[in-house]
Amino acid sequence: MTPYVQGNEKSVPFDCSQENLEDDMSETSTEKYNFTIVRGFAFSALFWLVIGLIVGLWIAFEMFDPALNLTPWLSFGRLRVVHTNGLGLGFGLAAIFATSYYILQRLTRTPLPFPRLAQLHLYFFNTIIALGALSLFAGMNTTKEYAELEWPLDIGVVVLWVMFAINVFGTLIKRQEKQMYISLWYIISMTVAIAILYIVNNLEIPVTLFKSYSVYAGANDANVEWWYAHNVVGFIFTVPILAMFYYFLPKSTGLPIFSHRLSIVSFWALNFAYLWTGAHHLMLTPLPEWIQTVAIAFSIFLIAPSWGSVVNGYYTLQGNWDQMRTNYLVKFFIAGITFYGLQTIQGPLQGLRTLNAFFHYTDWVIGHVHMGTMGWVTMVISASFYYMIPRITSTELYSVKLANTHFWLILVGQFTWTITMWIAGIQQGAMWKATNPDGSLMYNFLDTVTSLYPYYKLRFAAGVIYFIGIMIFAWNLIMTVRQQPSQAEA
Amino acid sequence: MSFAGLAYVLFTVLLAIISGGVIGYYYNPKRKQKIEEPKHRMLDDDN
Amino acid sequence: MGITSKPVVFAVLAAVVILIGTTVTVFIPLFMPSTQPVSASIKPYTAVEQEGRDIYMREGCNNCHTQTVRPLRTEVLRYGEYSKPEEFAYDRPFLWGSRRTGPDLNRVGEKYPDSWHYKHLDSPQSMFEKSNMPPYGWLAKNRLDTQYSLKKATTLGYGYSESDVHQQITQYRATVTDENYPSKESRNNVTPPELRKELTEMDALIAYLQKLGRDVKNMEAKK
Repeated sequence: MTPYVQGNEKSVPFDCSQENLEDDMSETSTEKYNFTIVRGFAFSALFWLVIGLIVGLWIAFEMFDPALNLTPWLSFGRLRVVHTNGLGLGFGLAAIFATSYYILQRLTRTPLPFPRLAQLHLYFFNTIIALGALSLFAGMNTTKEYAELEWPLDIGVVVLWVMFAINVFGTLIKRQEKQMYISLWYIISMTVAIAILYIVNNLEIPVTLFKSYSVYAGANDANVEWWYAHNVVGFIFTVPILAMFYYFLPKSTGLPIFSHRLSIVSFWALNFAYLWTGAHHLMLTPLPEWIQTVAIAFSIFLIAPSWGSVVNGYYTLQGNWDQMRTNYLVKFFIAGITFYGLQTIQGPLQGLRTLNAFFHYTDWVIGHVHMGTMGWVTMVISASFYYMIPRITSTELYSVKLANTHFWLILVGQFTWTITMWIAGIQQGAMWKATNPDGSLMYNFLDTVTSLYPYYKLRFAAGVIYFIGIMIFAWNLIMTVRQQPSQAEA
Repeated sequence: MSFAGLAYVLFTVLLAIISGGVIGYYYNPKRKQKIEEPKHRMLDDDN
Repeated sequence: MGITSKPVVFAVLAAVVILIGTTVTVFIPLFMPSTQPVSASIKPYTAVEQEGRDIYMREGCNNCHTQTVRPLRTEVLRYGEYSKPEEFAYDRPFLWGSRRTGPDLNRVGEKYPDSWHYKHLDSPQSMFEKSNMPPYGWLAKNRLDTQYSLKKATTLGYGYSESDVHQQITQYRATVTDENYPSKESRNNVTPPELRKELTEMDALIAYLQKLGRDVKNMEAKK
């Protein structure tokens, strides 16, 4: 299977990853760099991933059987934000910090300048996330999506971001490698963008320690919020995941990325265009129409830089597609970038007014989000961890077989999950719009909800399959670390 | 054409020119080797 | 090559590139009155309604209910007149939502009597057997905390004096505890005896729900 044999880029023949492993086990790298921090964040990510998914399963059940709303703390309205924040900020950020600390040190050939600060960053991060989860359980909720934490925790998030940024820029300034590779650009733009987004959207006036009001009102608040929410997804679930993809795909295949200059052009186009598109979440609302229209235009444009990365990923494997069979990591990356490609087509299309009028507020969008998170994001993070953890602990992966099982379970789980939600979304959208010959509505609202319960049950089952896959992932990494040879103890 | 319509067109043309310039700069064959260098160097950052 | 070997310059350039779209589509509209027009017909929330709104936020009602009716034929048929920007001038934060697991609520005010809401919030399933809405009967067992009501109104710039806030609270308490309150029976059914002469969280939430879409009728009538 070699669809792209011809090519002007120099491609290194696939050298067996076993050989690479031997090289990596040289003690110099594990001693020179600070990898305990990478390990700490990686296992924090796994912890929050499991917690977030349990909450996810709980609310998925509540969708077709409200009996699980046992107490105020377990009611859907509160749990949904624990789910999104636990996975977005808990799992997502921890995985980003883990891989960023690893990639930064490797690509700059420089150890972290402030290892103690990084250690403090780890403890502080987990404290903030734990307090965040508790506060959301307790109903301290600003209701701005993905920015639900109340103001004292917002300050905490800003502090932990500064702690991270100091090591990012410290490492970059002291670097031993003149030119910065693609992944570093993405880490830089994430560091800058998240700081701007988070601070601007979370400007609020405190009333008490646990309650505040947004400084913006009405349509302005909506505009600021969706500028934030769209881009926080972009700069947490796209940009740093691309940093991982661009680093770990070449590293685990031994193949250089297809084109560095294509990635440069895509990088700037993505960073420029992303910020204009938030209002496609506010289509047909009272937000001024011109902001919506500009958002649609830039959303369509975004297909180009997104697919720049997709093309770069596919072409990297030209002539070496056999690695899909021989190298277990490649499956994760290629499936991941494929979902990214699908996601970045589906997203802009949903932003078109006519399609948006039909799909918005239905489960279709829930399906869209979860293809990105359960497909693209988790696939790439999984493979990155599988690559990284054995190397930083000077050992080998506990079981490739389990990793393959993990892959197929999360693939099947995610596909079943998202396709079910797309169908549910189409059905609900159609039922909302259906009219009788005399022009009256065909269905009352409750009918459009209860007719979805079969889909919600299937979605729950798909979530269980996915969850089992993730548990295998966690187990595999825990066992990998536990068999660690004693001489590598840092 | 209205002023707003013209402004949108001019802005689009401006963006097209800038992106054309960026692409032209980075896709210039004489810079190729230098620009593509990091992708090979990153492969042996393990030691 | 150029900027890729200068991390600080690179970061500054990235910030500039990110801020262009941000400035045009977010920062500039903040200073354009047309983004969030105001209307004298749209009044701020009373102290009780605001407390109700805060409970709505605390319980994350916005996760399942939107508050914006789109200008689409079937949507106007289902919910009522589509949303106007003026209606949201006092909404901090906005509560437009992003998913309709339950119906839109922007036109729910005065659609049903209070009694309907007492019954429905207490047990949605008693009215709609297959509804997946969580029951909120426990809100009627919580006394409404009004100690920050004045501070909240001040923070939000509603222009109420201390006596205004006090009067709004006592007046609403008088309304719902009155012998002739039309929804007295349903209220008593869900409210424990010791709280029947007080304001509960459920009272405030219902006051808020009944305010949604109420003022815009006056605004439309004047046009």
